Amino acid sequence: MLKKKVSALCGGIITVVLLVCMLGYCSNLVERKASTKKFEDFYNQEEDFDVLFFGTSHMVNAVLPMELWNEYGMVSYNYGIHGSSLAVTYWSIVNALDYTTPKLIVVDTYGLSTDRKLGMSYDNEENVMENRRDQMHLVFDSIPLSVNKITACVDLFREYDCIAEFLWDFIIYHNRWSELTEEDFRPASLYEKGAELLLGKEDANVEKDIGTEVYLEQDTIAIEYLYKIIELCEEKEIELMFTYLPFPAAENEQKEANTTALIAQDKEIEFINFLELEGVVDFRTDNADPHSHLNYLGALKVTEYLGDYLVNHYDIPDRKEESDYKQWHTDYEEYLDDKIERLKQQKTVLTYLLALSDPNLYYEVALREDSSVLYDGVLVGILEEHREKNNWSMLPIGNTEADISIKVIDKRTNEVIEIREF
Amino acid sequence: MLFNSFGFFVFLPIVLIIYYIIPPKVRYLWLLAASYFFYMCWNAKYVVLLLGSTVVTYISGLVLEWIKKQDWSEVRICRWKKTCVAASFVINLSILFVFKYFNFVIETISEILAVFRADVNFTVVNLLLPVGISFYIFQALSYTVDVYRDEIYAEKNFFRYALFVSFFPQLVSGPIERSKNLLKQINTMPTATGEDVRDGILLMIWGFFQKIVIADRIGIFVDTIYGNYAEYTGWYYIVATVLFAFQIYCDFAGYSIIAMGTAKLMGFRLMENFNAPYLAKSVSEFWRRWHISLSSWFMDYLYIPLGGNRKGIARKQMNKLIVFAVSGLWHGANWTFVIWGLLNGLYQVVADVLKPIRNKVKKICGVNEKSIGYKIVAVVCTFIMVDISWLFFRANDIEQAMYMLKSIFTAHNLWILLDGSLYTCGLDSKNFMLMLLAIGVLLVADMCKYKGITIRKYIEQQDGWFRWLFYAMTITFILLTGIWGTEYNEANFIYFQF
Repeated sequence: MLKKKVSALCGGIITVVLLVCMLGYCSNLVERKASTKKFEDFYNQEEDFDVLFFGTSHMVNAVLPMELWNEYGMVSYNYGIHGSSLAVTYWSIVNALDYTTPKLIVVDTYGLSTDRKLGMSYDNEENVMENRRDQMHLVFDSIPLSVNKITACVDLFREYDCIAEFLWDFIIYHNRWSELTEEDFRPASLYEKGAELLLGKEDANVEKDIGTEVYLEQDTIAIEYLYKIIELCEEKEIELMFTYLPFPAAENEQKEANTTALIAQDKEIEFINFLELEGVVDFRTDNADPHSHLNYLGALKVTEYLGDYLVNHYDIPDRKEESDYKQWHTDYEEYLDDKIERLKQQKTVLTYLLALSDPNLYYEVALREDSSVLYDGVLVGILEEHREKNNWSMLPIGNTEADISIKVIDKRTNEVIEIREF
Repeated sequence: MLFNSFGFFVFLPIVLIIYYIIPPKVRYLWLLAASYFFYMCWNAKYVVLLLGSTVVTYISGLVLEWIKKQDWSEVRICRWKKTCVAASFVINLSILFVFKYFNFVIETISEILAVFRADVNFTVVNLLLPVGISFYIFQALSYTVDVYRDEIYAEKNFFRYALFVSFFPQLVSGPIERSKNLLKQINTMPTATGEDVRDGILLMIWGFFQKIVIADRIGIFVDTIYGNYAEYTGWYYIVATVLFAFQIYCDFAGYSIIAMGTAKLMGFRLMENFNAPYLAKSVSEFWRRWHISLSSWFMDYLYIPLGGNRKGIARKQMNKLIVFAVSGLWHGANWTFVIWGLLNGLYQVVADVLKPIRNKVKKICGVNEKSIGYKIVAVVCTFIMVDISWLFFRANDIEQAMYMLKSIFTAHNLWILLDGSLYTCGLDSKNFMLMLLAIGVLLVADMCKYKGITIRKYIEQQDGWFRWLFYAMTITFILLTGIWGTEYNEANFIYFQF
């Protein structure tokens, strides 16, 4: 009798183990890979990062860690999340600190006027969770299960009654079995260390400058979480810095930046208000959409400014010669190769020229006599920007029958990548 | 709490662990508390109705026992027993009427009066339909009648009786148990053997397969067509109605099987509720295989008291129609359900009336009823007749049903079966194929059952390593391909509205 009970118990345990293994495999297979791809390099990094960048899509598109590595040997990660909020940023920091202890955390405070934990307060959304679900999964899918993850999910999602799907995303992804592709079995890597460079340009809706003495009228949930971030960094003895990245900011957003300045001053925290800095970005060429995000050209400028600032104000070492970080050299080469592949996929002159902003590329331009490029202010602006960086040279006008002919050369190898005509 | 919810998978292990830890003498009290908790998870305040029905029928049983012991004349005893049963029925059915049929009756009266141009505004009562009310009230009433008929003694222990009415595995969607079966087991409080546990697990796996892999998947397609019926015609309706037959079967049978499996984990044996119904060769046989607990309830507690087939042929057919009309009404407060019920009754009446003619035709034509060809034709014809009635069951109103029926009989868009149109109705091609494959598995299982082969027993006889692997793989498959979780709304069991 006892033997039967023991046998039954063992059988039960084996069944449970088998079930857990099978479900674990299936769970990894059907999970959307966006979060894994974005944070794969973060979790694979054995040594600590020196700088972590947090914020919304403004941060995602504006700060390029691979460029910081190339220029300064800085080991950093762009932990920005599209559609994020400061509450989500806070919990992202809490979970990130389970895996690394950086010297500096940089937080972009766009969204300071948000008075709820998810999303932006100016959205009159009826169903906040439905609109934010994808973005929240981007944050949480790749975070391994832990006490901090559970606490974060309870805090953020309890009111929407959907905590479970963030702790075990198989709940939401299991029906992807019918959508599986090679990407699910062999996910491709991203090489941008969390950043996403945008190739596009739209006219900016530049708003009236309200000055630096106008502030948000009341406290918000976002401000509450900003103070939590400050407390957390003090407790962990990690330096903290705020930014308000550049974009054509409306009145309320300018108030956010001004309020951040007040808080930063009160708490003696460094703050770069890019809205008040002239000469860093140019909205004739640098914004990817009318209101929010920088394109690759703008991101390079912001990254350069920020990199300079960080190196001169903080003790951020150059790790290019350190053997522990030799993988970063390989990653950088992959990053460049990936950008070259993206370049080749561009179909318009505008996006092609933006992709040519890469400092590792040099190009020769030939224009037809009546080329439309000469009359396009944006294209001319980009070419002028590139000229300052010595990215290109021009052949005599009339040297081509195409509207514009571009010969691209890889500076690393001096090899011609391609000759493209439009 | 639904079976296919996280809450249930936390609830069940806790119930089972404590069930087996505590002394057998008090297990029924634990199960009673668990059952009430299970019901209250849906809506706590409506537990009053469950308790009310329990108290009324419990008292009716004691009163009947008391009456039987009185030194009265047989006539007086019979009269008082009938009064007691009548009181129990009136009180319980009144509860059912108020919550389920009051608005239906009011609206019907208004519509009739409107025909005579008498506009009367009745007050509509906005009450949430208590889940499972039709089931537990019928189960409780069957106890009253069983005591009346001296088939069982009245249960003296209120808590054991309360458990009989509220036993959580079958509380909200059946099977409608008889006191002779379930109350008897509650008095002995069985313990599951190893074989019971294995069988229970396999039953639950099979039930969940039917419910969340088949039924809920079909539901997506059917809801698309029936929910936007004006945008579709002909063969879309045919496919949707055929699939609905399997949806309602798997939804309901799935729940019953999960209930059986859950009960078996505690050693209880619930009655079989479905027995390969779509392999029936006549509508009468279908009703001996479909929702057996309800059919037998109506047989024992309505058809036979009405006289059954003892009062002549005409009365027998009338009784059949009454039973099926009431059965239709039991399923829902809408004329579509009544028509569904009446149609099934009519099929059987016509079959009965035409039986001599049919037999003569078969004899003249030399039809061999034992041949495979005849059986297939009989099964298909029965399915078609039953499925036409399902159209009324699923339609929102008679107008929709008639519109769809007309379109079906004038259908001319057969090409939709071949040109991929069916994959634009909520299910992509992969999900559609999986659905068909799963229905195929269901039919194979039903055919085995029809032949007396129990696949479960075969699996249970295999070595341990095979069984463990089988459990893990099937559960993984069900969780992977089942319709559950966030992206799809937790699909409610169809029969919960009853």
